[in-house]
Amino acid sequence: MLLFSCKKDLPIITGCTDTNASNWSYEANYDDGSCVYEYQPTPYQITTPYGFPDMIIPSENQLTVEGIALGKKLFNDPILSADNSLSCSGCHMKNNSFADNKKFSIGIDNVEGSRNASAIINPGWNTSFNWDGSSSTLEEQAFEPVTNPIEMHDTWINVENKLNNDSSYLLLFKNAFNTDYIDSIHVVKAIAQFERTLISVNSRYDKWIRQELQLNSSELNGFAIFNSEKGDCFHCHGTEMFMDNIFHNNGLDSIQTLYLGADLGLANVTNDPEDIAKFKTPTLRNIEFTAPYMHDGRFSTLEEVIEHYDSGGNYSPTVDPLMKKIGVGLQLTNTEKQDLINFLKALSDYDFINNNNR
Amino acid sequence: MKKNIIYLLLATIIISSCGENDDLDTTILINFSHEVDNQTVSSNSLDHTNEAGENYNVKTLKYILSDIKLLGNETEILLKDFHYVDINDPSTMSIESDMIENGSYTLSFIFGIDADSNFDSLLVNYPFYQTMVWPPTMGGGCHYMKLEGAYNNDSTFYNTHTGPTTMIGMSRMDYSFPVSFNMFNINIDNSTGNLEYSIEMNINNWYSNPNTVNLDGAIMMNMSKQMQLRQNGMTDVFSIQGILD
Repeated sequence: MLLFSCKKDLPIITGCTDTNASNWSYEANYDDGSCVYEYQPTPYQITTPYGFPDMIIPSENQLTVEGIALGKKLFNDPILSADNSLSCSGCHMKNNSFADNKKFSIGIDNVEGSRNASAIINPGWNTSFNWDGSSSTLEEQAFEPVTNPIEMHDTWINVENKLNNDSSYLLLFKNAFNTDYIDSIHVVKAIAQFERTLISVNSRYDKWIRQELQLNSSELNGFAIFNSEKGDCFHCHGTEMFMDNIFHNNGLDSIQTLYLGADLGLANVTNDPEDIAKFKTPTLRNIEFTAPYMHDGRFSTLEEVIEHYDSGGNYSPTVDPLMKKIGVGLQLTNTEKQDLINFLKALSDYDFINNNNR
Repeated sequence: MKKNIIYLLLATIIISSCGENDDLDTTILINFSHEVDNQTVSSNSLDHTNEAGENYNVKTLKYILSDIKLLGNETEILLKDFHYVDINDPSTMSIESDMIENGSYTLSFIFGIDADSNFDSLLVNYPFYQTMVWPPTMGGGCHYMKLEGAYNNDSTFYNTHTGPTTMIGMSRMDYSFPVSFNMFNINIDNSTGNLEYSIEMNINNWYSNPNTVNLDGAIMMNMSKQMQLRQNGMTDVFSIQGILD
């Protein structure tokens, strides 16, 4: 009696009632076995590493086995550049944890950029991309290099034409996205899917955390300095991801240098003077493989990086208070500096750069 | 007679299942505001002076409140389990409740995160975790607060970072503390309409009453300073006031 008090009897309407079917009927309330299912690629599940948050994957670009394989092929294919000479992997090299070992990468027209190519490692946990945070998703980021005149210098129309004239790509896109026409959106989706699988959590540090080995005394001392207010690395490079997903001015440039035209970083994107000289914190995982360092590759070695923090950096109005004493610095002993570097090298994941599946 | 009672019960059930609750008309908006002894918070020149006589500014203020509740006579309404405030991020500067039932309430929260909840595994998926993480060598979890800026001159900075301390051979010390505005009643009846309140932090009071705390030095593992800041925080750092339409 209660069940029927707020609802009237409905007539039986036959049809497909499965919402996963391509011919699902909103009106049908009795399934007549007519459901038709379109091809679906194979779902791929990311396993969240210890201490990491769950990866946030866009609902419109869920990972699939076919999408990831396509993304890998595109990442390594120079077809994305105007003269078919430069692929993503030309500047983001696996042996360098998908960074560039040159200070500035060189585009197809032999023009040098002005920022060091970022490492692509655990990018699925980043909330913004590029040193100045100019992209907020991996998909958005992948759009840019193809048309950048100092990088691949191509046009998306041209890239789409090249891919649509390639029968192997037509089949791969059909398998990954069930589409008969290749467009830029599907290209960047595939590349982003591949990049989300570039997960590195098998360094000596990770094995120590998993109690599979013991770090040596120097590495352990470096770990303690890293996580103390003496070294104070953890405030920006904390968590198991070794980065904080935000932007800092770490005292690289003085006011004078900034006036003379140094890179303004985040302020170039936000136009906010409070953001001048702030850059995205990179992860320190695989830092040994990603020299040179900083947004402009100004430091060739980890020793130079440590010396920068040890001497306290340069003052400018937006310098981060975490730098504490500008011009004074950490004042570490030589042994402490070496211990810190040894710990940073314990973050190197050789399996990651040697794995041929990447 | 029995039949009539059954019909009456059924009618009551049907009416209550299809109708709406007349006692749910009020939401509460809570804003978080900050000042330094009635001064607007300054991030550039050293406009503020603390009890110890140090001139300073405020460039960073990030903190976590947890277990934010309305306490009624017999009810307890959780408004939010954790709330992260960043003075440079307007999206963090307020919280809004769902509809609140008629009654008389007081507001309470914990400053920071208490020892039972301040663990990496529990907090790792909260958006504030990455910026507020407390290092593993100090017991893990999150900072309660990061209050930072320049003092004495433009290029010397203080880091008032509060959180738990862990020393070798000692149990973890928890310096989070409860804040209750017991004398401030929030009364809700059918005529109340939506309400708005401001929870104000007087930043200077972190450094005074009862303890004069200066800005010098690293304090994350300094049990004495963490305890002094806790005592000052409990005394008069926070206040509440209603905001009229």
